[in-house]
Amino acid sequence: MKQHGHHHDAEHHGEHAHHGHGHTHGVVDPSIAATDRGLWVLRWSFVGLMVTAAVQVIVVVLSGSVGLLADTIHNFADAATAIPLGIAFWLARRGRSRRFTYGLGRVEDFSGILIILTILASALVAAYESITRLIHPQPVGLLWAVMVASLVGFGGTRPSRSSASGPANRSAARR
Amino acid sequence: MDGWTSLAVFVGAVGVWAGYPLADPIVGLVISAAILVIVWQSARSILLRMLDGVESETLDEIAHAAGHVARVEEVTEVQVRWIGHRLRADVSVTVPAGLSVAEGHDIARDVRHQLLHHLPHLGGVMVHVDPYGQGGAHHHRVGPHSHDDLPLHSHE
Repeated sequence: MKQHGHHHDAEHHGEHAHHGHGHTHGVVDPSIAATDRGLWVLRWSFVGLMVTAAVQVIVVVLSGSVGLLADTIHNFADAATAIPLGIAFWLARRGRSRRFTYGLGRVEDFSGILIILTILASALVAAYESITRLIHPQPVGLLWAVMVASLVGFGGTRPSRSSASGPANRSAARR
Repeated sequence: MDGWTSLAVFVGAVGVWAGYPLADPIVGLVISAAILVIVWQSARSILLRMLDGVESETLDEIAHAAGHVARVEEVTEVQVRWIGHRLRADVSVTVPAGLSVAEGHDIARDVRHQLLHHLPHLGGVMVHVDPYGQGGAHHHRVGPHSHDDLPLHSHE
């Protein structure tokens, strides 16, 4: 039996329709992240979501709104999905070594699991706080700030997302 | 999925302002539940990948693409596993037994090329070339034998 197959890393993806293997809730599709334009989108939507969430955190603390707390966690969670992809891309560039002969691609999954556990814990905290306040209502202050922060959340997540499925796709399609 | 949680917070704040203080924790609970759904879906897809779970359509697609390469007689085995978000495929094909090593190598290269075209998530392909009529795992077993003064043994 003969064995063949070399590993010149072909960037062949992108020009075809995406084959469904589960859907991702992240900022960009993993196959798009392998392009430079995809990385650019990944980085800036990450920054956008983090800034949005940071603004919201301040209002959460000042107002005591648990609704905004949950939305903030949601935005942090969305931003965090970029981290495993960023790590994966960086590791893919490093390639294989004599210690890790298949490369370190699975670090993406390990970091993904860690992030999911973090988000799970945060969501449980938000759910617990919400239930506590349903039973023992507490006043929500600075309602105008909560409204502004929610609109910031709406605006801060939208544009990055639409650009993630726009120019990135087109530049990937040119390859 | 992404914009509506923020709008829900806005609606909740309007509710509190209009005299319904429970609107805020209700919105908080609904968004928390939505995050838990996302957590479940993401954990499921990552664990599926870590256990090398693939959809059977992927296997069909690989077998179909490899089978259409010139001089490939049969596709006898397809195994796929995940390295991160990229797939790595091991494909066994049979070719006419009289071909030279160099010709077998050319066919393997064509198979790899076709697969990379048809499956955008493929990160690597390993092609095993067997002579026609001798493909499949049972042809690669080493049955009972003895050599070098070793007792009778086999490698299944």
